[in-house]
Amino acid sequence: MIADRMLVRLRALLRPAPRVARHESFLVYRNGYYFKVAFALCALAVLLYAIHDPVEGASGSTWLGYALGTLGLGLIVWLAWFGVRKRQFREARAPVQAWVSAHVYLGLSLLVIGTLHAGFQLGWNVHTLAYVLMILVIVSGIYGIFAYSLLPSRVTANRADVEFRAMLEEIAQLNETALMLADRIDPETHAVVARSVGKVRIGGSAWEQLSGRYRMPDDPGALDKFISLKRKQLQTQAASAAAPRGGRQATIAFVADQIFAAGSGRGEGKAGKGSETLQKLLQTIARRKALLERVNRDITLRARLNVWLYFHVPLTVALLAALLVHVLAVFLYW
Amino acid sequence: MIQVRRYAPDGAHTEQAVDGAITVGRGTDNSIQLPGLLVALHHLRLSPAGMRVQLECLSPAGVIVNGLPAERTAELLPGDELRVGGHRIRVSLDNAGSGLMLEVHEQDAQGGATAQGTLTSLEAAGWRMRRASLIGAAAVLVLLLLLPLVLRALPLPSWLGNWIPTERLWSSGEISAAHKHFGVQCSSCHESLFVPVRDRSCLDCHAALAQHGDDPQALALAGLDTQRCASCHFEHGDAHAVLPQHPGICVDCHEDPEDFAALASTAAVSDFAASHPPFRVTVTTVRDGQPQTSRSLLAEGVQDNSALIYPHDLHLDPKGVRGPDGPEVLLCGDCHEPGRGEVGFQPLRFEPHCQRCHQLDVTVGALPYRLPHGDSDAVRALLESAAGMPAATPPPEPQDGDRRRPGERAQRGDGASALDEIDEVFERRVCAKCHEIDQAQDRAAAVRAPMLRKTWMPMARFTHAPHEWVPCASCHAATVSSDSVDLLLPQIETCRLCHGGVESSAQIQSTCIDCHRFHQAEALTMSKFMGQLADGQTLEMGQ
Repeated sequence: MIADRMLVRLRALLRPAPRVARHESFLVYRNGYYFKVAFALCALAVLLYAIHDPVEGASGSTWLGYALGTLGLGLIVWLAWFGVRKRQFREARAPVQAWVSAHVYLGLSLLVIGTLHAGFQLGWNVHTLAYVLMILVIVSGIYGIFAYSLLPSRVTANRADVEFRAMLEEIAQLNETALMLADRIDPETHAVVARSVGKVRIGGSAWEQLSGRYRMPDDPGALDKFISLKRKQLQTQAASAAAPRGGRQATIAFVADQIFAAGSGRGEGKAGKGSETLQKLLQTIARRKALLERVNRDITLRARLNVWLYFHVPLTVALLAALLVHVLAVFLYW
Repeated sequence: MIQVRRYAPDGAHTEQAVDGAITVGRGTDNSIQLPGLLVALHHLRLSPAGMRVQLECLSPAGVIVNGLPAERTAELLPGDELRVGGHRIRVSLDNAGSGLMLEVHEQDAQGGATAQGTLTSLEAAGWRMRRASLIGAAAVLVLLLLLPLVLRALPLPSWLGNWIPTERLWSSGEISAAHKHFGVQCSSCHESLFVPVRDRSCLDCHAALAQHGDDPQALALAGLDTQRCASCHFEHGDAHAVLPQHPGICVDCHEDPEDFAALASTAAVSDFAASHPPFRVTVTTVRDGQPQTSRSLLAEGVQDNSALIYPHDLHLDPKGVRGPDGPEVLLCGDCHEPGRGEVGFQPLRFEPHCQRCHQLDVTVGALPYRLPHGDSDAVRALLESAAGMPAATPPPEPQDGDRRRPGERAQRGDGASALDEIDEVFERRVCAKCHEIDQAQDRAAAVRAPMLRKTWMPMARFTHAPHEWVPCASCHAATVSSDSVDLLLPQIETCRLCHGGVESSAQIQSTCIDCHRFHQAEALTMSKFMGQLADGQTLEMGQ
């Protein structure tokens, strides 16, 4: 049978490697039972539609039209009930996984049933509005199928066994460490780091979350600022203490020395300690930056995982309202 | 002297009065000490001056005044608010209202760790499922149900209907072209809610419509008396959907004629290509000298006696016929001219079609006469007066009792030669060339009135206009017909060369109502072919 062959292919597609955990995707739940049910339903509808030859042409007002319409309406209401069912955790008659599987496949079958019910007649009216809303709900649902099949593993990989809240806490800790280190250097450094910490943004607007491109208010510039500030400071120190001879060239050489000394930690005494702190501060800020990127990546993945629900659910409710008007309008004006 | 009221994160507050300038910072030597590494050791200096406070920022980390980053110095008024490392300091009036007070709101040390603009989910970014759901559903219900219901009761100008959500949004499809001009108003047909369209809405305009039959009992037996107009005529389908094309409407009864008494004499039919009986025609036959109308199968040899003598093959000779100005080639269209609206043909008449070649000239007593056409009595009177005979009753036949030998002219006495001559004009020389002559024993010879039918298939209609591109000879075998009794109609097989059933993909899909009518009782109200009789010349002889 075609259904069986398609199912085999689907299963092969969804089985990347043999896994230890016995996780069964909702797409192949109970050997694709609901896929077969939906396929049979569609096949039956198509067959009847092909045989049926009503005098007035195919439409919702033939006996087959009414039958498909009743079936479609029942399916939609039942599928919408899934939103309620998935919250009833104590209900034990059928597992939620069964509901998801049925929801997905019977929802997809509405593409066929709804279209045949309409008899391919579309216009600018409430009936077509209900049809279009149904299509939009299904399309958003199809996105959801892909999102739920592909994204969770990437979320897990990105988190690397660290909880989201733990990552946020770590950022806060790194911020504090950076401030502490900066405070040890001098008030100017502290001010720069404090401003950078104050301006750090985790996540962003809906568009930033979805696109994965976050605005970074001078976070990348914080280090530069810090360096230039430090350089200026060293310059003035150098000018006042050991006025270097040779003017500008010598100043630059001196500053470079200082930076090199700070970077390698080869300095001695107070200067050596300062450069060590500077080094630690640099590391802290770099770690914070990397962690922030991971957190933002996590936010993006979760936003992409959930975005379709913000369309799927409101459109479903609007669809139920449109269906009410659709059915009423049919009987208001026979 | 300024009052400082300090609120801990848990809401508890303490008050103290401070003299002179106030310093704010992380260091313990500040008059207002704030925790948290975001605060500098010495961050701000606030100097009260009357009802104002002079602000000086000591740290490069800056301070935010009323939501905006401030200059290094600023003048604060009651109501202004400062933000320092997550803490809030508000300038306000003290309880007496006579002096200033600083309200310091300490921030939770933990909360201060995360930054201000943290939006970690779509919900945090302001997306709400429930709100969108409610708005969407409410919009659908209001715009598509409530407003149309309300507007339905209001008298609105028709042009407005295109711009506001009226009941037209409930329409299930396009209204047919013929009904569109009033169909935009739903109430034209849908008189009241929840009531199917009544027949009288249709019959207001379609008043003179005939039933399918004249026998009410037969209609009742077929279940046709309880059908509504809308049982067959489906609106809101398409521009032409209201005219039912589906053969099922007819075939439901006509494929099983044995089930209906009224269809006892009809053949079963279900499809033009696969199951349609041979054509049946209404023809004139002459029995005992009397023309009679009869129905018969259109088979080889079926004849229609129009009482005209017209060999088509002679007239359509490709070499031409002898005309008044020499040989000329006649075409079908020279005589069969399309009628009004290109539906049928104009009636055939002597003057425009025959007279140019067939002049009714005779010579009587060496004098030429031209006979009138269409009146046997007038011809006889003219001939009699030309022959000098009194227009009287013919003399009695000689009663000699001798039988005439074959080939021998009858003895008619002196006067008989003139009568002979007149009969010869009728029977041989002029009239009989084209007409059948009635010769009764007790009456003089006369031309039998020709009966040219407008149609031989009164139960169907055929329009020549769409078939214009087909040569006449491909359906009508006129060029080989030597006798006008030949019925030159094509058999159904000829039609089937081009016309197929409704499911046909290779041929023209032909439905029942392409040729037949439904609302066609005795009076044939909807048949375009039932017109006036054509000038008395063309005779339509019943059904």
